[in-house]
Amino acid sequence: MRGVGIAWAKTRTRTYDVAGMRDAIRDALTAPEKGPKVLVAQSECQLNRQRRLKPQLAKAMKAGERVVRERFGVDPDTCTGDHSCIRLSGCPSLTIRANPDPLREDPVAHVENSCVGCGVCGEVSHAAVLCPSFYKARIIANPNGRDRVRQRLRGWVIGALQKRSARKLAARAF
Amino acid sequence: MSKRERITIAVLGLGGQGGGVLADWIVQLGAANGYVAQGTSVPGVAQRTGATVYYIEMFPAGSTAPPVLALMPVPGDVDVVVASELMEAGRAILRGFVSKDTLLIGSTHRVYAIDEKSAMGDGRASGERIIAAAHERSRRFIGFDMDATADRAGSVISSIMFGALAGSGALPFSRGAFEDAIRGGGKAIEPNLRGFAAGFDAAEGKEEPARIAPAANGPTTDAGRALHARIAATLPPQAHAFAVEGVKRLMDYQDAAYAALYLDRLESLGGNPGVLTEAARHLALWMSYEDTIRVAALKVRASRFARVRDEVKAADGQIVQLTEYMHPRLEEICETLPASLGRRILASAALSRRLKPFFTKGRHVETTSLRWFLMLSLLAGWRRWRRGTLRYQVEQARIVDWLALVRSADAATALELVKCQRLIKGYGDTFERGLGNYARIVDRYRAGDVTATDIARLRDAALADEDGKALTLALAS
Repeated sequence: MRGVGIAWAKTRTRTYDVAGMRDAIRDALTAPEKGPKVLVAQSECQLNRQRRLKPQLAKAMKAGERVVRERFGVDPDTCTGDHSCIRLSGCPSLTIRANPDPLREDPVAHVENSCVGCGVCGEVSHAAVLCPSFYKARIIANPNGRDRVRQRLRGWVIGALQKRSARKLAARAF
Repeated sequence: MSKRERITIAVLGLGGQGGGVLADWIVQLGAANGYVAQGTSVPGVAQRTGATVYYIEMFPAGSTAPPVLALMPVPGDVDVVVASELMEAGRAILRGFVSKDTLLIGSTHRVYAIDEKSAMGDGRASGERIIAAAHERSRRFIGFDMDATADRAGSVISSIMFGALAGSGALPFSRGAFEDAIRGGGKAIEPNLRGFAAGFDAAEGKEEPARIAPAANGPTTDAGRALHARIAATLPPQAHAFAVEGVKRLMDYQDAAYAALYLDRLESLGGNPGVLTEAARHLALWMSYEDTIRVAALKVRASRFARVRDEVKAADGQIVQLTEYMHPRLEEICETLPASLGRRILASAALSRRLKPFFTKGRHVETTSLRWFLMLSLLAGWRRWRRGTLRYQVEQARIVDWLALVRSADAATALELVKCQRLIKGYGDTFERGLGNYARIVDRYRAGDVTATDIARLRDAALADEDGKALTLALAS
């Protein structure tokens, strides 16, 4: 880059970090250096990556190896059906479905199973301060010993707390 | 050339649905069973990820001269049309591929177009007319929700379509021949065969396994029974369903006393059943405004953990870790504080300036970790002191204002005013925009000379665009 006279060049390894990417572009546009500036967005296209990895992961999973898969989703009970996220994202896997809430009319956002886990939907709504409905789920298949111990500990505490709050909830329920 | 010898099939699908795989299977199926088969595809760009027409034509092998096969489906000359989505089925009808001689196999689920998805309210187009047209225009229409079938079978939609094609009996090949084509394809054979079987059964009209009936709606506690009795005694029957849901929601949200306040407010709105029904809906929604306490409470529930596990299709023995994208700003933090304290911080420029930097970055909250779970649980437990929070006071004042307005209007206007609550939704800027639009409409109403139809028109305008241009125009006219 420097060889062809680019004074400002940066590489970002996590392109799907929307806020970071936005800041990098802002830096590039406001940097005092003259001439063209280069920002290398290094992350692989997630669709490509998934096509490459999916068969490998399926094989590893069958062989009993530890495999981590990521997926995104929207909680229908905190989503209010404004669809700002869809207006910003435009992802084909981010769509709408009928609101499960009997009182609400507008459809809620919903991530379909075709999601390849790039996470841009969540990152965008994060960067735009939209709403807390997006979640990322890491699904660990064939967990190893460490995973299991940690999970048992968490499950024990979280489970106890959840049981307690469910009891309280039932006591003040309809 | 007799048309009965030739078989023409068009597959209409969207990108990523496996239409190409399906077309390959059909070509293989024909080629393996004594036909000269040819498959082509014409990609098109719809507003989604691109709609593609695959076309397969086959002709019995063994004739003296090799047959000439077409590259594209010709309107009026397609034996079978397979569409992977309802609008695609509609498109096939529109393009003339479906005629009175055509068997139309189509999924009845929708993949929404971007205009439908990005509307600020409900932009979904109705699919009923397409289903009616599908029955009317084709020789026979086999339609079912293939997406749901694929989901249940743990397979993909292309295998369901292939199964439905086999189950329709339109092609002169045995079920075994179809299954061999899948095996020959060599891709994800097991799930594809599972999907094939599900599609086959559905096309033959076999009943789906009965769904578990939803839990009964009756009250389970003394407080619930008392409020239920009160609804039955004081509200018109039309309003009961929403009122029960509202009471249920508010008991979950706060407590029985809060639900009783909800009924007090409803009862104060007079006796018009139409107004009361909609008010029962919108008042419950407004009273259960989404503050940080509510969000935290919903995020840590066991039922939510189970729902996510189900949604991401985690198998038994697999561990699911959850990360939320949260972005509490100083405003949200102050709203959760006792009213006087929160108000003081927001009013003081110096304090706000000093505190703001702590709340500018979004947080990735790992709900399944102990630290964050405890944190969110504590926040959810803050519910006990919700009545003292700044947000509570602000929202209750807004609700009281709104109800006073509704009470003073005639029935038709009151109904439209009640429905304006729909504009107020979301978090952060989205919420403020909605509230702003609501305030503009209400101010216009207060200024006088506004009919019920005007309010409905203004409400639609507020949902037309994000920048409020349509609303500004509508307010000016």
